[in-house]
Amino acid sequence: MNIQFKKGVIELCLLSLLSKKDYLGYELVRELCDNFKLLEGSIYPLLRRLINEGYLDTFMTEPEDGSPKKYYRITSKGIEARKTLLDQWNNLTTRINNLIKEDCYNE
Amino acid sequence: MNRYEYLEKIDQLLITLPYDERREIMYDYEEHFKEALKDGKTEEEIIIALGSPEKIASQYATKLTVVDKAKPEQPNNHVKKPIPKRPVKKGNGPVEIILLLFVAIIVGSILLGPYLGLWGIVIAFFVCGIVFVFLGFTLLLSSIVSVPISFISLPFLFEYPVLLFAGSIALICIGGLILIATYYIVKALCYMTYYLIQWFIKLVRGY
Repeated sequence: MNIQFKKGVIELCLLSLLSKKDYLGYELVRELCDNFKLLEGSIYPLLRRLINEGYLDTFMTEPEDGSPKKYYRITSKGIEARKTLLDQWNNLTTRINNLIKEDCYNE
Repeated sequence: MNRYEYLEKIDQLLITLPYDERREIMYDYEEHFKEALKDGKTEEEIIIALGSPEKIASQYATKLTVVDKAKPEQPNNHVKKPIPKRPVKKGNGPVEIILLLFVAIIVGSILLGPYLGLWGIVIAFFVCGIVFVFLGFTLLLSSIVSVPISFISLPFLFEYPVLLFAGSIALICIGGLILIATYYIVKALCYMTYYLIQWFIKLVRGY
C-alpha cells in the first residue's frame, strides 16, 4: 500500500473513532495498531498534525485516583474533514468494486 | 536502550521544534510508556513497537496532511526555507579593466579623427552662418545708403539696387538659419558624447 494512501486511510480511521467519543492517545494507538500492521510511533505525529490543522484538540482530565490524563477530541472542522475523506474513500472503493466485478465475466 | 535513554534520544532529535510543542510531544510518549507498562508490556517491547527515535522524529518534520493537499503549505517554523539569494553585483576585476582600457585606447584612437572632423564641420557651419549674416547686413546697409562698401567688389550688384537689397536680406536669413541649425547640431553632439562616455565607464567598471 502506497504511503500517502495509507496515511489517508489512517486519518480517516482516527477521525471516525474520535467522531464517536474522546480518546486517550494510547487508546487510539491500541485501536489502530491491534487491527492493522502499523508502527505505533507513527500515530502520535499524525495526531500532532491533525491538531495543527485544527481537526482535533486536546484537554486534560483530573481524576481523583491518579495523574491528569490528556484526551483527544474532534473539532467541527475535523468532522468536515472526515466527511471529505469518507467521500473520497467511498468513491474509490465503489470504483474498485465495479472493476473487480467486471473481471468475473471472464471466468 | 532503556525508556529514559529512548525518550532522551527523541527529545534531542526534536530540538529544532519550539519548546512548547516539544514538551507536548514528549508528554505523549511518556504517557504512552505509562499506559503500556500498565498493560503489562515490557520497556523493550514498547520501544520496538514504537519504532526508532529517528523514524519518529522525522515524522514531525513533514507538514501536509492528506486532506489538505490543495492548501498551500503552512510554514512550520522548524523547517528552514532557503533564503533566495539576491544576485550579487560583481564589478570587473582589475584584469578585465586593464584589458578593456587597452581595447578602448586602440578603438578610440581610430575613432578620434572622424569625431574631431564632426566638430570641424560644426565650426565651419558656425562660421558660415556668422559670415552670411554679417555680409547680409553689410550689403543691406550699402543698398540703402547707395554707397559701395570698399572691401566688397561686386560691381554688377550695384546696377540693380533692388537685387542688392533683396539679396542681402536673403543672406541674413540663410545665415540665421545656419546658426540655428549649428546650435542644434552642437547640442546633439554634446549629448552623444556624454552618453558615450557614461556607457564606456559602465563597460569598464563592469556594471
